[in-house]
Amino acid sequence: MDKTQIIGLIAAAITIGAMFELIRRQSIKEKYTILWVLAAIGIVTIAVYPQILDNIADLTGIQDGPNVILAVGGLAITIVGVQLSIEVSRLEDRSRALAEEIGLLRLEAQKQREQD
Amino acid sequence: MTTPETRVLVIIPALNEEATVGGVVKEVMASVPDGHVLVVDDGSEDETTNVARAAGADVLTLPFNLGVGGALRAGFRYAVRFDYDVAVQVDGDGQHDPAEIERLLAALADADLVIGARFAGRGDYSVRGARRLAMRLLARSLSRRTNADLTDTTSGFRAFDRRAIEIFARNYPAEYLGDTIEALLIAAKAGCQVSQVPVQMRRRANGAPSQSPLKSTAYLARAALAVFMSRARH
Repeated sequence: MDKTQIIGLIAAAITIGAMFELIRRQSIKEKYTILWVLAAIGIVTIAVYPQILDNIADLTGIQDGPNVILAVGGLAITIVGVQLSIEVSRLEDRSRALAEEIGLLRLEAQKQREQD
Repeated sequence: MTTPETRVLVIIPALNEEATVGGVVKEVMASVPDGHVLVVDDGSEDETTNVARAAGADVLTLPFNLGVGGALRAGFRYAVRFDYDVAVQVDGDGQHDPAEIERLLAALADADLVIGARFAGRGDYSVRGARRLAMRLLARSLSRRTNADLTDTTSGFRAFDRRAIEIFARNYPAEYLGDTIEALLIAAKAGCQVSQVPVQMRRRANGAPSQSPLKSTAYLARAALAVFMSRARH
């Protein structure tokens, strides 16, 4: 096992360990960890079988093995970014609706107090 | 359309308008004696809520700033919950003349949504440059979509019948500019009849509208984006 393989395995171990810890502390929802765990699995695979990059490169016509990492990595980050934008929009909608509801309830409570 | 039994709610979205909102509330109450006034305080940091309440309005205070769209949707929800037949939107800065509310209400006889239009022949309100271009383009595009002859689609002086109120209580767009523009598309899509009534504007008691070339261009860009996004959705 050469140095790069060991570094790759360590990186994968840290990613999986960090995800496990975040889930255990309940500071991240399970659905968000899936992608990161997949990324960790990818790192392990590449670390153990670096030649897989060249195989993929040959298959897809990409000129150089490491470029596969860049392309796949860029795509993955884009997907995460879009996913988070969707999630933030949904949360914003909900917090707006809650804010409106709080305003309505405050007003109703105040009217109730005035009646009593 | 408006008989004495018609329940009218005047919704006044207000953000940091303590200087003007009290006067607006009193004027509205004088102009629409049978109506109720609801001020929606959109997260103001001044005394807007207290001033409006002291003037006699019900005040719906939002916990943080939602923008005009959010404030209005809260107002429409209130209108549905307390069973109003008609809602009127009036700005809290005093630029709309409450004496014109009656004209908007009268026009609800043949429409579900009535816009108080600023450049339709009455009054001397005018804008220049890119902002003017943006407003014209918006007017043309939205007139086609709503099958109405509209000249001012971004006016915040509007009247809504029960049908429009119910649609907007469920779904009123929140984005800047989207709130006025997309609201028209939502109404058109739901089969609402839209019309406009020329109104006279007053000087803003509280600051002047922004007219710098840079801001106007930004306005044009945002208006184009708002139309594009609204069209994509509807």
